[in-house]
Amino acid sequence: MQRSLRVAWFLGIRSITRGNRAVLAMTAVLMALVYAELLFIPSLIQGAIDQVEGGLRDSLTANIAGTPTGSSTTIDGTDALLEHIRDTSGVKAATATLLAGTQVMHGNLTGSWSVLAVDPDTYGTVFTTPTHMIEGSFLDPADTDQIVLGIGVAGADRANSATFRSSLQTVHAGDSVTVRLLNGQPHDFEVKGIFATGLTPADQQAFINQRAIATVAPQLTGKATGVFVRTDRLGDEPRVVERLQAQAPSVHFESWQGLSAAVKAQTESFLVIKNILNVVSLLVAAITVFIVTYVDLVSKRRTIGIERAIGITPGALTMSYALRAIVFALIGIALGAAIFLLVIVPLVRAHPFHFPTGAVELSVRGRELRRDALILMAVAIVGAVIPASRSVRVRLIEAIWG
Amino acid sequence: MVCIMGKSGSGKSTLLRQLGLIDVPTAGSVYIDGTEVTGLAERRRSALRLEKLGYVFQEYALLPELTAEENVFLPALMAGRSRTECRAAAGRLLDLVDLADRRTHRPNELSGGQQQRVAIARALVNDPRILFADEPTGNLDSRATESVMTALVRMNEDLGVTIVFVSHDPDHRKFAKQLIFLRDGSLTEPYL
Repeated sequence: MQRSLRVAWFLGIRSITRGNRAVLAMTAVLMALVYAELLFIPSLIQGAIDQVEGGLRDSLTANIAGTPTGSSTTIDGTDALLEHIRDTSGVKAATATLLAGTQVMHGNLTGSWSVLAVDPDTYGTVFTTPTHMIEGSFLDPADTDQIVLGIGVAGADRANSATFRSSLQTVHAGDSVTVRLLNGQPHDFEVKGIFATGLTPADQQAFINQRAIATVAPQLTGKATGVFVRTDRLGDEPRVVERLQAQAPSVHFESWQGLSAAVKAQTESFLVIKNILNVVSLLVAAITVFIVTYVDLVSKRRTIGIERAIGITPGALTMSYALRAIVFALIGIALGAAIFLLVIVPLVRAHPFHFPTGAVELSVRGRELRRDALILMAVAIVGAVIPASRSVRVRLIEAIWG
Repeated sequence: MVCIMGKSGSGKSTLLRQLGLIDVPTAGSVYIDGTEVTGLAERRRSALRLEKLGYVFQEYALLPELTAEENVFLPALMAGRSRTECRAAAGRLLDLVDLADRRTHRPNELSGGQQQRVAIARALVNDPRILFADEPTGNLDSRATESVMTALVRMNEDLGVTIVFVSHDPDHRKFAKQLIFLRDGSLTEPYL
């Protein structure tokens, strides 16, 4: 085995360095394109997944969401609870929301949306919604008769889009809308701003100041239907959930992953597409190496016969082709990675793709770069070994003299 | 030195290929050193070719991507010798065939006679007991023929290697200590 390996190395290296340069260059370029393609679509899909999941964290669930347990519909003592939460290790910020109403009316149009009472001071420390205003501005702490609407509620004259067809259609900042609060009372609010996060469920929300609730429904003061936590680091959620749960057993804490059922079907579909495309790319790589090896074997049939005649084993010859495939793959991977990381990723960063969920960049992970490189190499080896192992076992008399 | 002679189509090359374990006979047996090798598995035949036999083809049969020296030492590398030993053996043999100054040349930079002498050196690198040469001068002019036959004689005399070669050139009788004539695939009586 060791002898065969030495000879395989010797023959493989000589064949690469002294063989046909054009074939080497063409194969390496093909492998590079396959590798770049292997990375591109999954990175794009991963970018879309990241965008959806990021949107979810930034505008709906935060890193961790706390909800009432048992038959209770609200969390009591919110201020004290938030203080405890903010003092917990791993927590960056926390805020609370209260579902204050479910019906919004404008003129003769009406619809059911979540109207949440929030603390304008802390809401923006957990969620990025206040940074996505397309009209007007977000709530100030002093606002009591103002409301902020998602584009899916306001419509803002975008009713020609199917996404906003069930909205109030023509509401803009400065208009007045009526909200039927949970105690059944209607209350008029002036639209202070309209936001568009790009995430449909988030854009179907409306916000009022929790101080407004204190005046119209004082019995709900100090209560919340949800508390939301921003953690110091993404990925720390399970540990922080454990700590929070220990401090507040009357609240059920869950990380954003557990709450992402709304987008899970979407991301799973993306992953299926990603896997299918990966298999296709790998097949292209295997066939490329197979054809290059096969053509080489056919053109070197006599040489192989001579090598066998002077005592070179079929194993050594097969290994020399496997080694060539590894070199092709390595050059292709290096070239492909360079093209992808230095050209394609910056290009897409400058000109992102626009998906319905927003602008999507390529999301590249080192783990996937390494894994795809190893898979491509394995596929290249298989693509070389199959034709080589068959061809080098030909009868000598036929190989040398035809 | 044994010379196998006969007319075209008499079976000279076929016989040599059977003896050199390049081909398998459909009938009869081949013995090397008293051991029957006819039915050996290809793996064992390959090992015998590597360790005990040398074979020189009519058409030079060098590997185009290797230099003269690398062509010569490749079988030694396969036999498990170190790179230093391989280079030393190749250098010694190329010197014996008067090609010491051509060791870094690739086959396409060598003349036919030079290529055939490299092939002879390659066939001898693992110190085989027998060297088979199939019309080694068949494609060469008279001057190159002389240099190749001189190299074979030198190998026979200096290294003590048994050389069995096929030729249809009557002049080559002078190099042989034993002649074998073939006619229609059979040895002719007077020379058995």
